[in-house]
Amino acid sequence: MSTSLRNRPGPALAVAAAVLLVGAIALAFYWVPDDADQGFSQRIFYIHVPLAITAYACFFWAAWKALRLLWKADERYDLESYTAVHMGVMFGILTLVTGSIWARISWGVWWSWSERQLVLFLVLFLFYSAYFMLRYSVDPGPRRARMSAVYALFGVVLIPVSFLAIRLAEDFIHPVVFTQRGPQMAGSMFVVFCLSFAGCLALAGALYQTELAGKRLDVRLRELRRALA
Amino acid sequence: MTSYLSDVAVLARKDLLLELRSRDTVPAMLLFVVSALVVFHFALPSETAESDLAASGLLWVAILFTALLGLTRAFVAEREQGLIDALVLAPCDRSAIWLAKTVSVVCFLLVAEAFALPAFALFFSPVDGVTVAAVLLSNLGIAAVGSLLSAIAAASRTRELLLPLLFLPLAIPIVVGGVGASVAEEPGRFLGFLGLYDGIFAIISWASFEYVVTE
Amino acid sequence: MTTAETYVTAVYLVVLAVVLLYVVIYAFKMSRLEREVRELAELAAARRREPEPEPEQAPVG
Repeated sequence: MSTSLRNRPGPALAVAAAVLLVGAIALAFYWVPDDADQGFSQRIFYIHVPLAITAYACFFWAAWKALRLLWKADERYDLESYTAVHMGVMFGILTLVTGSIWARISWGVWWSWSERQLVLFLVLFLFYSAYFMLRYSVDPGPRRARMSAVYALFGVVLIPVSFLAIRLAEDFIHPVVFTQRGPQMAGSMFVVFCLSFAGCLALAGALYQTELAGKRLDVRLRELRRALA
Repeated sequence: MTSYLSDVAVLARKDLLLELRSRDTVPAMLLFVVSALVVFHFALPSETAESDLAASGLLWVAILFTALLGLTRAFVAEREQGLIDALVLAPCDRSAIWLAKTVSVVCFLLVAEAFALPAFALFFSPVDGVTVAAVLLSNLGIAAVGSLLSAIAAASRTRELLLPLLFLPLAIPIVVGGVGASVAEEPGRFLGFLGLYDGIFAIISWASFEYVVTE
Repeated sequence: MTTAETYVTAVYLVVLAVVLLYVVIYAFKMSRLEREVRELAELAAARRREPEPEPEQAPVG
């Protein structure tokens, strides 16, 4: 079994994630200066934006694996694509929750339609939740793998199209004027941001490896059971 | 190339003839869209009903859900008669099946909209040329994506349940484009966006259909 | 703590909570998989110990 080789990145990634994230959070709380405009609450930026970018990365990874599946017709990529979508949804939910809390603290509302990133994530969350509905309602097999792959590819195309749509929609959906979120980052802020970003990616990678190993084990056990019964 | 187009023509003609004879789907779509518009009238407080902005949104909601109604039936006949397997085994390019289905869905939508737009103008506010253009443009996007998703849903256990879930997130840009075109002073951008959506999603639907439909 | 500090801490705690929740769910999944492995190992061992049982003789005709 080659799973032992594949599992080796797992522990290393987990350690890296722990170190990077703990370091980044500590720095975000104690070292980094307050933002001139938003004050202390701006520090949410250091976890919210890396989570969002990591979620996008997961969706793109899922689409890449999906493309490989359709191209090579190797079912191994199905589980990888599925796990990546799962990770993307997890990080997407985290992005929505952290973004909502940030909106609450910045503007007093739990949700704001004028926050493009949040709205985009809401649309993507709906889209990729339907991915799971799709997988659960089709019997396992190469057909389900292919359909999931096509859907994952559609998702990645939807990301820029939706973003464009949301920007266009602001014209007629009561634009509320809020100050832009991305600060002009001082050097120290950028360092912490990068640390946090690397940590989030490592976390996603570690969770991805563990989840993938678990799913593969599940499949093998099922085959074994069928062979023995 | 010509044999590809003639395959598409044959398949589309089959769908349209079937619909002409059975008259299942289109009358239901017509009735649905008018009923939906009436429900919307009662669903809105009187001030907003007069405002053009709220009203244009409703037209698009009505069109989307009417389209969903029609799309749910799109591959039912093929599924029931086992035609999908026959079509897939046939020596035509699988994507021709998708193109033919898209053409027939567009035709159904056109008939439904021929009723929906006058009804909307009657119940709510007059419909200008830009809105008509937006509706026509959106038909391709709805049909292209809808045909692919309908084939996916037809292969699942939950069929009618699954299609709206898959379709609605993808339909959000269409609504933005359509409502924006009706409402904004410069509709050009929104019409352009609708065209972009149509192009992008038609191409990837066309390219990925064969992966969805083969066993 | 000021309100800002409460909310910021809440955000990071939420992230931690979700990750820990994932770990907990995964721990349950792992114990289930371990149980399955044990069952299958017993099945395999039992198969190896016993020869195939004789099919029942049924009267024909």
